[in-house]
Amino acid sequence: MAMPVPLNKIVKEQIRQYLAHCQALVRRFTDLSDKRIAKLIAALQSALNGEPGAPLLVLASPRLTPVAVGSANVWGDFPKHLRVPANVGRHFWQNAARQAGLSSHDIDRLMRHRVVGLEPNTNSQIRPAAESFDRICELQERILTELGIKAISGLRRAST
Amino acid sequence: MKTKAGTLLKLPTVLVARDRSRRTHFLHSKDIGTGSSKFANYQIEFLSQFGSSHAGCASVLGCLIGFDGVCHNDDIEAAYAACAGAAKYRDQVRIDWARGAQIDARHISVFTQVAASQVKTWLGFHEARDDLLKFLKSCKSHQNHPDDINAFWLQFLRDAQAWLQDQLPPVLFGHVTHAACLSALPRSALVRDITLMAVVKEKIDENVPAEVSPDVWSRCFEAAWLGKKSSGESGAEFVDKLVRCLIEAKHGSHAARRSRILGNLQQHSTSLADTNEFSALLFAHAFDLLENGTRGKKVIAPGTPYDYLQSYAMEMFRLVDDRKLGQLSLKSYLEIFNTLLDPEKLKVNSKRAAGLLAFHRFLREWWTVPQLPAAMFKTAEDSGVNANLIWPHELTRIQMWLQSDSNSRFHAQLRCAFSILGATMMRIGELMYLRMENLKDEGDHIMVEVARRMRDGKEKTKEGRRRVFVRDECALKEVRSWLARRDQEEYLPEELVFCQLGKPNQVAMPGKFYFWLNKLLKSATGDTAVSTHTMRHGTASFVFKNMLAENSALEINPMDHLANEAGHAGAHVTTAKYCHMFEQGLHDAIDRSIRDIVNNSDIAARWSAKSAQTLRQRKSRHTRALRDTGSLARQNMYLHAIKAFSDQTVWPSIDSGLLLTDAVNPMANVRAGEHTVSRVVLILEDLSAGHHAEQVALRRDCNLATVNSILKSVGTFSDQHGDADDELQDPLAYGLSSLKDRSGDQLGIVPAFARTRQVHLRPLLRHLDSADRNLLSRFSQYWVMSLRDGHFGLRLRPGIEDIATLLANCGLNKTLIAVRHNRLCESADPSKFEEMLNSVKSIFHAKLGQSPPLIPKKKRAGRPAVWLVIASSAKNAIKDGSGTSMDGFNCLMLSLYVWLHLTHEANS
Repeated sequence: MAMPVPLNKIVKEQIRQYLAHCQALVRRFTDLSDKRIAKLIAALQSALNGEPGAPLLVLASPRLTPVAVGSANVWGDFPKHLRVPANVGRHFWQNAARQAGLSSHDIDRLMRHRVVGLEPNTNSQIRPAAESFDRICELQERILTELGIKAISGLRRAST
Repeated sequence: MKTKAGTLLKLPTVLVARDRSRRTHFLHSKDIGTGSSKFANYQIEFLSQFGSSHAGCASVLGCLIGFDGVCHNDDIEAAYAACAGAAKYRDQVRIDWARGAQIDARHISVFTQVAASQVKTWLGFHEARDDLLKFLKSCKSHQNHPDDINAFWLQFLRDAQAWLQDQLPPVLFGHVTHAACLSALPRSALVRDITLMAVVKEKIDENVPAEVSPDVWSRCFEAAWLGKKSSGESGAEFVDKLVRCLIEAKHGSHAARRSRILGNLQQHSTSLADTNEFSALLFAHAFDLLENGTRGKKVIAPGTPYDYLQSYAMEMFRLVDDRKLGQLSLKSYLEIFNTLLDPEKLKVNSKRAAGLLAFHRFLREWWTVPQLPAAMFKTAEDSGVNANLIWPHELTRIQMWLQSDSNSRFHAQLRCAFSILGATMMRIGELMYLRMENLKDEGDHIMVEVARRMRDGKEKTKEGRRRVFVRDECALKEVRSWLARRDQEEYLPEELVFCQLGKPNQVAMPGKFYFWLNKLLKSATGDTAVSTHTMRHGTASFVFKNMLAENSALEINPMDHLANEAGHAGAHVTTAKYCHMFEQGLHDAIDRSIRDIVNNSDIAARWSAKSAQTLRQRKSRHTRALRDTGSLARQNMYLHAIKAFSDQTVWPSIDSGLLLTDAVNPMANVRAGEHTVSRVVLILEDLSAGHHAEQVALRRDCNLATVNSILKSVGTFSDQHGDADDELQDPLAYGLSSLKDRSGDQLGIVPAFARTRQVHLRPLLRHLDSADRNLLSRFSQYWVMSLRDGHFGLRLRPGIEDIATLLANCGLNKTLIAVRHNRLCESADPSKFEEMLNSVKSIFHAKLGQSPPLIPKKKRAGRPAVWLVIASSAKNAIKDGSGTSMDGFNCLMLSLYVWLHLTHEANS
């Protein structure tokens, strides 16, 4: 059963920046008129249009075919002794939220865990989703700021 | 989650799934974020476009959807129509509308209030909707709208639901989308809250005093509670005899015929002890029909109860088949009614449907049975709104009524029961079988363990085995006082809390206990649909209301805690069925969500008819003066400005159009455990009718010793005033035989106790129940002294005014009263004779409203100068045919004489 996930301001801003970057990239690729990157352009266009099933984050393979980004693309390049589980982000946020004193209901919402009898979206619950999301986003923004993580801009203009 | 296959439902606008415990899961649609943000934009655009000076029907509709959580297509039209009848409840403006057997309601937002107050002419719903859609098409947020108007409308509502799913507590989201509805309180319940009065559901016929026969009611409910298995005499024969008791006599007025049928029923009530639950309840229903009529008609024709019961009673008896009505599932209960309401059978007997509806309503009011659909009886009116509660002030009122007799064990028992029921969510069946070992005083609270013994039967469900807590100060005091009393009675831990003394496993007077618990609630509220079960709804509703207001982020879901207290499998059952006060929580949740939108001076200016600059200045001053930059008061300043503007509209109060009355204590005239003159009259009537002493004790809810003592008093009286033999006789046996002697020779008066019910003697009887004992004692002495002379004379001495008052109040036939005088009396000073006569005349004229006839009498030794007589009309020389009135009067006076002896014995 699908459950919504909150996006904090920094992530929202990062997605906005990324989409602007993709848009600029598509224009540049289109200007190149290279048939080899047609598939890549189509994939980026799908991400920009928010088409159902289309991956938002794509990478170009050595043969310039689009590949959806997975955790291997994030952690795979690290040396073996530095590697961490693929879902290390979830581990991190669960622990960070617990340390910050968030209630287990909020953490379950963040992790999209469903505990039988305690599902957040049933008529036996009294906490609104928005309040829970506000608490989660506030915490994430605070931690990301502490870590010095902020939104990064990419390409902007169509061509240089 | 285990979801039943095929239970995925697609309601018109929201996706839900129900699990095995009937809990509703709200699924998230894929575009929930988009829909939610589109709706948030709509709210801003709407508030920026409309306002106090640009309001109309479309803006009312827009406000209802935007700021009142009305988002279901079926609700919007009803809510829009209800806006014209919005009413003030406390500091909120409330609208409500019916939704089947439920009521939905909102405390409307300040925006809706402003918009509704500006409407001059209310347009039809569809016109208003079209106007709103026109505005929506012009909004940036809805640029890509579907062309089809209906599709556009549904899309808009879906967006509203997406926003509400995000912002509302899920339990309220389920309500606004119809996925899991709650039920709001009817206006009558809210009116009781603000006026502190009882509601009158139907017009009272003042000529017909409401009668209460607690003894019969108590016996019915006792039989129903204990519910023996029916057999032979106690089964079908009982029902058959009951129906025959209702056969209407052919002559006499309606009142007299009803009274005769009631008499038949009272006689038949002696067989109640051996009957089963269904038969006892049927009897109670027949009695209720005669005493209180139906919901539609307070006074029914004397033949109606017979028409009703003969149409279905025997068949229903067979269908119920000795099962307990209170434990029937909805399916079984429905099956019985479906069989009885077979159209073919209804053709044969037209009264059957009406009779069954009346019986079902009676069961809903006094017993615990499931609700049936209104369509089943082919009536537009439903069998009552599901929601109701008892307000704290009503419980306090009941406790005050019960305080009037602080020594009575029964009253203390009721006080303790009300305290436990009011403070916890216990069921009446659980309370009845509570044992002393289940109550534990733990300092600041009393823990009550609901865990029945095997012999007392199982709990309703396995979740029913639980612990509940009494925390309320007043309730704690009452329960502790009952425990102290039980301590004095040297209780054993395994005894029932409300046991009969010396019988640890028997509830003390269960029928009477059950009857008064319910009757007091009905009297305090004026609502006949209220019962002890309603107290569970009250407790749950108050807790739920506070829960919504607290908005806490506790680890433990407070609703689960409430469900545990209620003995339910989950909080979804408790909220859907028991929590009725959600409007304020819904209103506050939406207000919190739109706080950022309202915090815009331009929007606030549009809706408060003030300039934006003024509002900004006000906020700035507040900030500077109080150095306040982040308080809630500062954040809500603009909202308060709009509220102040909306408050300029005068809304009608919610109590307008409802009939109200002061709540009357039904126990005032029925002092439990005490003997009144009325009760003695009934006992003497039973004895003279030939019932033996044990039977009378059972019928009149008193012990055998009391009946024997009454018989002894009668025996003594007969010995002094009747034609007694010279032989020394046992007063008990002589009393019984003299009461049965129809000629009245043995007793000295004719034992016609039925005549005490004559219309002109009824007020006297009521007066005798409440008058001062000393006065009554004097009154009785006069009567006894003068009985031999065939008249009742009052000598002119101090206190005669009191007696004149008593006679005036009793409404005695005035033709039977006369003043006799003897001018030549030696004891009287001739010069003062006229003065004395005038004084008597004036006293009686003032009290009775007319002067009694003055009859001169001859001189005789011992006669006073002036005296009063109440005698037969023949003796007063007034031939109006009312001479026999003296028999009824004499019977009343004999009852008074016996009562005085009885109370004298009790006091000594």
